[in-house]
Amino acid sequence: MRHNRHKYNTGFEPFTSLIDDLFKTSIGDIVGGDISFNTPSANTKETDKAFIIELAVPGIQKDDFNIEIDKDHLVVSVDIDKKTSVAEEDDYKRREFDYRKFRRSFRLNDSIDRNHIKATYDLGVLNLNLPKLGAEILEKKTTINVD
Amino acid sequence: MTLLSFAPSHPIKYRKRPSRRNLFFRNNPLTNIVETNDSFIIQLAIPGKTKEEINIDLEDAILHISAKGNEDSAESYTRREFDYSEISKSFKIPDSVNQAEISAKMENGILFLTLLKKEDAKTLPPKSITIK
Repeated sequence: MRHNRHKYNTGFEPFTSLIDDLFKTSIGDIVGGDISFNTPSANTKETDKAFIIELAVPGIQKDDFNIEIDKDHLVVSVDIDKKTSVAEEDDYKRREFDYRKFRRSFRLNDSIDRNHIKATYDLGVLNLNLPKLGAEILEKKTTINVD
Repeated sequence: MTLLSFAPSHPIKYRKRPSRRNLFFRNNPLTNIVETNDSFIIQLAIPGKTKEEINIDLEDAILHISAKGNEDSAESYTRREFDYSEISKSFKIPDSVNQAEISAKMENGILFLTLLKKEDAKTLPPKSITIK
């Protein structure tokens, strides 16, 4: 680590708890250790027709995602060659997130239609739509009138 | 990495995964800072928000980034590790930055703030000096 992180320390800072000095405090300094988050966070929800997974992966191009079904698991992974990145590793003064290489899997239950899983990437969130089996059939169900 | 223990028998009807982010970072986006010879680049991870939802203010050498939360139907989630809640983060800008030349762009859920250094704070390339 370079030592110029204290270069801009002007002495007493009464608002240290509120204001994040560019160099002085990262969360790692507070709780100890070198904390960074390389595994994206996920939300899941269930509707009548599908299970939906939202994966927060900011800063990736959609072509960088590998999404596979491996036996009973849906596996989302990204593996970008770190040498191709714009900034040099040494230039990072603080690094709390880095999603260039991760792997996260979700177990698929039997009610999911594995052939019709869809994915979209928008605003840094990967949205996975896992339709339930039989949802289409239910949709097409029509009422039959008794003559 | 688990820093705090989490009670597994949580009273909420669904089992909520202990969100590391919410324990420490609620309203506080994850941040990377890059320093180059002539600039600082701050990267804030703000997934799920459009650039129109984000406000950036500069006052007295403090750069403040904020966004209102868009609350959605939280009950329908079966697992919640992140949300699109309110964001508030401030940075004290070092004296070496030219405050008139701060620019921002939003790309795939990351807010990039570019802070150019003042001329005299730039790192000059090495140069050899000849002896006369």
